[in-house]
Amino acid sequence: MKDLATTEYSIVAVQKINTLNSCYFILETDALKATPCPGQFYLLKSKEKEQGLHIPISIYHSTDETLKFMVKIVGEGTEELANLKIGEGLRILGPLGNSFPMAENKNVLLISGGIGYAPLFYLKEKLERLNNSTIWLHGGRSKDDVFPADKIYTEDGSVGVKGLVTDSILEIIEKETIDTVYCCGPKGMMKHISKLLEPSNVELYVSLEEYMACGLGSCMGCAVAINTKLGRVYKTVCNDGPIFDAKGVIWDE
Amino acid sequence: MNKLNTSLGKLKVRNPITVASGTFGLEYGRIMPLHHLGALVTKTITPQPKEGNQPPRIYETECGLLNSIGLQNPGLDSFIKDHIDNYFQLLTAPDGYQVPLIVSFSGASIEEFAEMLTKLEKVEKIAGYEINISCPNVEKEGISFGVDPEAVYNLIKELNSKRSPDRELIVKLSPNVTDITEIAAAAEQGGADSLALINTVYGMAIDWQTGKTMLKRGFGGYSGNAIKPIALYNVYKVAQSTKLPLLAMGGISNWKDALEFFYAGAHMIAVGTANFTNHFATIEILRDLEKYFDEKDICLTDIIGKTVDLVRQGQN
Repeated sequence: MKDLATTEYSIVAVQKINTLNSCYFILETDALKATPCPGQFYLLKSKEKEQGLHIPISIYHSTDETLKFMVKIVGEGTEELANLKIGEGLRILGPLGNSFPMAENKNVLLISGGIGYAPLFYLKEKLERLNNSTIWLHGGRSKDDVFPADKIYTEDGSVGVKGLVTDSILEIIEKETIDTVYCCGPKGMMKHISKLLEPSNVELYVSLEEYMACGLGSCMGCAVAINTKLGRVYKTVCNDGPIFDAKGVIWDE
Repeated sequence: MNKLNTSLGKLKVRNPITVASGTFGLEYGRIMPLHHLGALVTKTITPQPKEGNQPPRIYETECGLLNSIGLQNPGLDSFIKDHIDNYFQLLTAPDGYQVPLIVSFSGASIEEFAEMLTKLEKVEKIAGYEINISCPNVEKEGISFGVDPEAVYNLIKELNSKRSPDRELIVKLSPNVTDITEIAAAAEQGGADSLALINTVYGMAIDWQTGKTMLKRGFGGYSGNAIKPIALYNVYKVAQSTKLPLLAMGGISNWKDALEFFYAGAHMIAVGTANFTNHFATIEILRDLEKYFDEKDICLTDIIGKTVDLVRQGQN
């Protein structure tokens, strides 16, 4: 078991909710003691909510005073987070899970889709401190799913290039001599990128998602199939992940 | 005087709170001390490593949680070699007291169960066994035993003959049977010391837009708030049909829930799904029960099974 003595459970106050559009918002809360690493996440839920599971949300930005989470409203749980008021209590457990392996002095490509933007925002900031050169491709269905990046793709063409974020990655990787790719987005997108990069030597790290209960690696609910030296096993997204080397991920389960 | 003193058969505990198998592992030690528990029940162990079911394995639905984990575990040998000492270590209180460890296990045949028990008998410090004959999420182990009184009797008789008498032999029952008291009676006749109930209730969820099931296996076990009345009824019913002490669980998420189960006849209670909805549920329930019994100036043992008496006397 890795040392996660810094994982804390606390009730913190909501500092700010910044609505980006009808689907996305940024939730700002008081910080905990530990500084999260890029790719890690927290379990969140309103202090008032006794029943119901927590929502796992990855870290978007962290300072000594605040934690920021970028959230997409996809169901009841995220809707409840969106309706929190400033000063209200939020149950928070974290930071949880592993983190992106950090490249140093490399050419790095970041690829995100939709809410997959959030963990890469925090990652990019840390990568740049380690003297990496970064290019960020971000895609979404329409302009509502788009946030600042080096190159933007939308399926409906409402902003940026009309098409998928995966359309020209092989060309970019070759042209920019990319060493490492970090990716977070819908499973289909990550699977596609993983297949595209399979023949190459480019490192690819993906952030996976599953329905989650305990968040600590106890209940084995958030299992994903991974190829290891010992063969195919189920790993937990919450504790073994959420970040996995794409080479090991069995996408077709 | 500790007003929460209780016991489950020969198992003496400092307080009546434990955890439902598979919902609370040593990982919780990262955020809280584990020696506050009355006892700890491990995740169910099988003879060989078990990879578990294909995901998605959990789905949150109205008032509860569906799961189909499928007993993923490292297998008995690895459990004994790599894990059990960590349990003993984290279950040692600062005053040196060892919180009882109850090992939950399951096999596909009487022989498998018996072999597992024989191996576990060689490990010191284990306080008891929870015989899982009620998991709804596996083909061979689990519930295929737990629905047949004769199979339960034969299994428990065999295990009873092989275990040391100072270890509590607990049989975990399923609610997914026509008459739970028949299964309870079979376990009692076979030589069980106590009964744990209930395991999860069969359930499923379907995506109304596509018709696909939310769990890959199609169905699973339903737990959480919604099953509390079902669990309470089963505990109440079994409490009247058997002399064995009961470890009760099913939707307990706070101290008031716990009291209801004590009134129904439970000697101990286990927190399950509430460990996910409130990671500190066990600690909070303990704190709140201590306060309640102090304020009322009564002991836990004063209320156990009281509802059964009240109903009998027509005073409910």
